[in-house]
Amino acid sequence: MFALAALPAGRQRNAFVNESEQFIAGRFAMWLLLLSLGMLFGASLIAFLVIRLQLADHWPGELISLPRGLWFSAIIMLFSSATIHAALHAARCNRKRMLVAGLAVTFVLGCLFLAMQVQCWLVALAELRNVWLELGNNRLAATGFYIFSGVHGLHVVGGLIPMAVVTLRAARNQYNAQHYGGVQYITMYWHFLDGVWIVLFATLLIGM
Amino acid sequence: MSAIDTQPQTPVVVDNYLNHTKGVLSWALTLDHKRIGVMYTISVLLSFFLGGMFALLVRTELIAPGEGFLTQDQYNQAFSLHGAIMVFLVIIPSVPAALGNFIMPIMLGAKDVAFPRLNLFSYYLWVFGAIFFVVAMFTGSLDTGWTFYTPYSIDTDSAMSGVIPALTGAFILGFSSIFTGMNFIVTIHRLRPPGMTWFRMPLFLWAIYATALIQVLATPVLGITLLLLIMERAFGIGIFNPALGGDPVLYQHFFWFYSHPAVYIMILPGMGIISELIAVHSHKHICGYKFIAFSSVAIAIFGFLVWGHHMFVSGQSPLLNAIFSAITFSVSIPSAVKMFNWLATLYKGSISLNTPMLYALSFMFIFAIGGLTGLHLGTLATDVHLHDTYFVVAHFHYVMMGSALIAMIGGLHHWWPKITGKMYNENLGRLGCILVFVGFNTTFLPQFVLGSQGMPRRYHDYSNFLPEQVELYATYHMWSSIGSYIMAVGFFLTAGYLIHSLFAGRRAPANPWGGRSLEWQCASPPPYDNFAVTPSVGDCYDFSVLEWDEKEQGYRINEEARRKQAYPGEVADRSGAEKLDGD
Repeated sequence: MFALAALPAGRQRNAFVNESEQFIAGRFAMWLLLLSLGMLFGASLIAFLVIRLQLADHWPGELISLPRGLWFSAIIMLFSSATIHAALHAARCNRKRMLVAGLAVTFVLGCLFLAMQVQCWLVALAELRNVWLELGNNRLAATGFYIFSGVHGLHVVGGLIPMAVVTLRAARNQYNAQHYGGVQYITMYWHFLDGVWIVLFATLLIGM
Repeated sequence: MSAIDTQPQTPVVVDNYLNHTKGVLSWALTLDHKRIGVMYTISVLLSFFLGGMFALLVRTELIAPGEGFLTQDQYNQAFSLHGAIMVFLVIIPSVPAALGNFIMPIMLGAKDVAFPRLNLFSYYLWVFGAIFFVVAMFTGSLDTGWTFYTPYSIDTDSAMSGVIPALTGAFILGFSSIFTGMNFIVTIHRLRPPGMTWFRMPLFLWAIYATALIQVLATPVLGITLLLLIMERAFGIGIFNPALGGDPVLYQHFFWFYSHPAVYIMILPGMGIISELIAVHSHKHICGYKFIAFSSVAIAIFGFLVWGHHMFVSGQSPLLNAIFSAITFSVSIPSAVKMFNWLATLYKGSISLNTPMLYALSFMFIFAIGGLTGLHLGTLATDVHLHDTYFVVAHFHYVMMGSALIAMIGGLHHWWPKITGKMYNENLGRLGCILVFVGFNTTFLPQFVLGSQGMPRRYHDYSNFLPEQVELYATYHMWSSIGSYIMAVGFFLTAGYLIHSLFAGRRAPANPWGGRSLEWQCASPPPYDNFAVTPSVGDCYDFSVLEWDEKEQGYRINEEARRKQAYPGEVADRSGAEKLDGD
């Protein structure tokens, strides 16, 4: 998609009568994408819960504990939601420095979140080595955290790349109060990722 | 693509989307929905050829009892690749992505889809997914059937290293489908021209819209399922593998939660095409417009609630079985509503028995059988007997191949003059359709009998049954295989005259059939920006305003008659649309 974004500007093809129509359409498409991804995360949640409930009494919950770092990453994620919203607000008010700062901080927080998640992966892995044999055939107790954080993490990576593009464009002064589509779309996506991680994290906390 | 690119030019060179720019890159990087549609069409038809070859291998192996020219493993791979290619690479993208891409924006009088770049991105995702299937074919192989059921798909002892590439391919194709669906929903919501309200849209667009809803809502579930299955096979995550605490039936639930709605992704656009073909080629106003429109949406909604009918013998609770069975029957209501409305449209119409109409009539005949045999399979008592027999194979080929694909081929003929600007040979077209129709029924009608007599599906060899059974099966299998050869001849003939028409076909008029929807109001092939003159949005099934133009050898709109029938405000001017930079 990013290769396509690099197509020369002369190769634009736009079917909308004006920019505000295009903005509305873009926002609508983002809602559809979030709906679609909601189905994806919802299904993974259901898969986890079904196996968790089936294993009920065999679930080796006492053997496994979630890395403490997850609390930090959750707080980072929540905080980044606030910073990106500040950026969106700045775009609407035409405050360009604030916009660039908000986006840049969110980008850094997103990277920090990923780093924290990777650190948690390593911590969990070290712990797993000790209990691997005792786990028996209840594999999901060990892998559930990896599945959730992995699938979510991929979506975070998929958000950071366009966020870098939007930040660069903001730095080049390409957004203003009438024209801030990119900021709007990435903010919607980021809030969604925030909400999803909170739900997944809560499920892990309760389920484990 | 190159065949169309190099077609001889007509004496007067008119700017159209084919000759607007030249060169391979102007196609590969195009943002024009028409070129993307053409690229999809060519890719889908090539995949259809590949999938068809695997089908012929399967049929040839089964022509007589005993081990034929394929080993058991090769046979398993042949039917798995046939199924996977036909479902994921052919039928799912055939109508929405290929024909829909070309026709939908023109039907809306729009310049393009809402997000042209996303559209091109979807196409390359399709290509990428297709490459994974080719990798699966050559590096290892795939013997799980197209459904990738566990435990076949997680059995790492078998040497089938093509499972992961194929799963990855299907995963990527899923995202291609989601993005196409998103694009189409937004396009239909936001780019309808002034005057075209929801209930003045051509029925094809209603069908595409209902399909896009399923694509957006159901496909992500397949995506995560395939991803979990890949992880299960690669790392053993314990979701689907019972040895690791997982549940293989959970896989079936997830798979069919997508794949049952997916059969409506396949059939709904086909039904949309048939609504157009029947009305245009019987030159009569479609009967029960709103019923057909709402039945498309109803099918899309019901489609989400019936997945469990694929699992009546998987140990589901009897209560769930009964509920899924009951809801399954409810799908037959909107389907029947469509059938009755098409029949009523034909009644007293002035029917042109040309190739698209013959395909539409074939569709109605075949879909009636396909739909009605679905009731036997939705009924618990009979399904337990018929499950995993050739009855099921025959049923889903009647709806997926005989209905969805026949509708696609019919639509291809209907819009061929618009897409290529050339007319094909009508008589050969009729002959091709008849061969396909006869071949299809010769192939699959015997399979209903085979199935009801107990022949299981996916068997490589049937010589170990009781002697009288083997004799019976052999006869029907032979007929079935002969039918598949007739069908192949029909398809090769069709490919032949369609390709021939590109070089030697008569120049197509703007409106060869007498259609009223907007795509017939632009030139054939359409100009780069679709409409030179703002099209008039009228009742797209009111054919009374059309008159035959002898000089053009096509229909044109009688302006005086149109003005009398016009909706208020329908000729609103869109020419002031500014060209704006995208975001």
